[in-house]
Amino acid sequence: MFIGHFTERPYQDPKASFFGASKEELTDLVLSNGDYDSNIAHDLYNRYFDEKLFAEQMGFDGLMLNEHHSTPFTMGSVCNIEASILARITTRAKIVLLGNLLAVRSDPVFLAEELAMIDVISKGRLISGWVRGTGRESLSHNAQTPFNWERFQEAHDLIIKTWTEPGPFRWEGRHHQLRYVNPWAKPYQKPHMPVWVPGVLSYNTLEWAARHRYPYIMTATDEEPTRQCFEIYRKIANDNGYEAGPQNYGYMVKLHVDETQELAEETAEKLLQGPSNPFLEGNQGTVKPWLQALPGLTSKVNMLPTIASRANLAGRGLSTTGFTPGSYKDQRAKRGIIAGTPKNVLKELRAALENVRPGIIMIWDGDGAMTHDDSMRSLRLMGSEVLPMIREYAKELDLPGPFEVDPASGATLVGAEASAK
Amino acid sequence: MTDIAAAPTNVRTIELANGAVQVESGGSGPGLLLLHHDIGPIGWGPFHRALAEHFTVFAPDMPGFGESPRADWARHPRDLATMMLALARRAGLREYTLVGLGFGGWVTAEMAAFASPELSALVLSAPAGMRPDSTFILDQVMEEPVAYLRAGFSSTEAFDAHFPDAKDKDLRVQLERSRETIARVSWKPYMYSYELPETLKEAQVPTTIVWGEKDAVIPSECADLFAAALPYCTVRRLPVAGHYIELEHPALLAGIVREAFEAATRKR
Repeated sequence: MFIGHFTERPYQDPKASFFGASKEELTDLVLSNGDYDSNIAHDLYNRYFDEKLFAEQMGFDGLMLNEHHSTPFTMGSVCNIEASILARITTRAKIVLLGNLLAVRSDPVFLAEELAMIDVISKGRLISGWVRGTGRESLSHNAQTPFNWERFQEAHDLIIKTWTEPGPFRWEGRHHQLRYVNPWAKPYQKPHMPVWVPGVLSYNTLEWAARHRYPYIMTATDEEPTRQCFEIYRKIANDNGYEAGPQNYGYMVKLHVDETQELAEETAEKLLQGPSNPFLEGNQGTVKPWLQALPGLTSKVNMLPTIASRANLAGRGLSTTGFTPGSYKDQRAKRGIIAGTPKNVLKELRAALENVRPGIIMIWDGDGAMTHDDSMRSLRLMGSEVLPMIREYAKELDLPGPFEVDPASGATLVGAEASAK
Repeated sequence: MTDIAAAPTNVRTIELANGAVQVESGGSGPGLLLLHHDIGPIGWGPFHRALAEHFTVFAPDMPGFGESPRADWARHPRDLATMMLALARRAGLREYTLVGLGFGGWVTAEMAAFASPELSALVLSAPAGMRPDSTFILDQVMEEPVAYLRAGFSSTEAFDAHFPDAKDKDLRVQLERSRETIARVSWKPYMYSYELPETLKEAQVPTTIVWGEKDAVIPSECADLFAAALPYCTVRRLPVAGHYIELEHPALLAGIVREAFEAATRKR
């Protein structure tokens, strides 16, 4: 079992109009960065690095970063910057990027260089994930949305070639043309760093990940459709000549642990009260659907079973209102949020693991309006009481992670091979 | 949507070597090719009927709009222009009048730059294609699709009269499809070309530019930019019109087209 820690790194300014618990609809993608206070941002960036460092100390295997653009709900709009810093200040944990925007970056070779440098600086601790981005990302960098999927695939092929084949070479693709590809920096890990792919709704992305034998991480999805998506992955793997298992599947769960059940519930509710975040079910964030679902960005017919979730649709501009439904209570009931004392959360976590059967679990905490103290209390209890038990459950339930069983071959990894993977 | 004409029209698909195009045609007289707005074709309406009294009107659904399949390879309005030129030739049009509306005006301008000897007259109604100096073309990517449609009318009442059911599913599907095609061929620069002011200088065809002064989609200052580029150009400004002149003032615009054709014929 691979256990990662995640937070969106929200820009928290309780005075701001876009800060939650106001019972007002908070429309994302219309906010002005005129409200940005660099002093607040300075403190928050450093707070989140402190929390990542502590997460490593508490035994997390991976420190997950993502990126979103032109919004306060994710401050890490260039996750490679944060990853570079983590590469230097951490020593053991993997740095998990879920991920870089392949279709939005105008020059994939730049990206290949950045990631190779992070991998080298961290001595091979980078896990490089790829995403297509939602409307906000394409809008923020004016990436032509109808070609998002084509650009994603071509950029991937170019980067893998850049990492694995000696240069210089020339690239004449449909979307990228380069005369001289020969970046000096190459990945520390050979042939290249592990690639993981996060997803929510797109069948194409899941199918592509399964064909490439890349672990597929479902972010903030309900248990049952997540399980169904993994089953789809498994069938595609079979069709492509390999056996997929837990090592190929990642599941993200919102989890907060605290000293008492009351404090845990009270604090976990703050998850939904930060800056408007339409990807956070039950948060009051809304989007303008036509900006999130930009023309031609994603197939609206080729969707995964997660389409049943109105929250998933709303966050991606695929509902007519753009409003993210759900409440804290609803999510508690379906284990979308797990909160409590270590003893209590473990019961729910065990049930989730039995149902979804992932080999990668990403724990989403310390978000929304949660304070640094809230995060640190939870991290401390996770380290001392929760993570060790998750590992025990994983053994009992036979849920190997991708550093125990090779996602590409199903082979058991041991010793140096496992640590290098 | 605008009502369908009672007079019979002919709908057929013309197979070009690089894509199929559905064309509706009707009327009698000299040939006229009409290219629609970026919102896609909205049926054979009063403007078409008024034109059809004097012309044989060919109104294709440009590739990726209406009933015509998308030309996946196309990346620029100039690509659509090459297809529309091929279409006109396949349809047997010779020395025809070319009329373009909004985005379709940009495509027709590109056609004129390539093949002005094939044209008798060019009429551009609030065409896209020029970068305004002092303001911006309304960016449909940033607008809710129906709100963008509404912006093309001179008043909310005029919009309501033409589209009483803005929630109509078919309308929304058409707008979404049109929006995607525009995103494929005019993402950036959005709705203009830095080359067009130069290529148009050799468009040796009598041209009439028509612009509504209440146009909230493409600024009317662009009329002067077209006039500066085109060698034979007349500008007609309509104080009360919005962007969709052919919907709000079909007889007036059809009359301007006829005058343009007659003036061009007299000069020949």
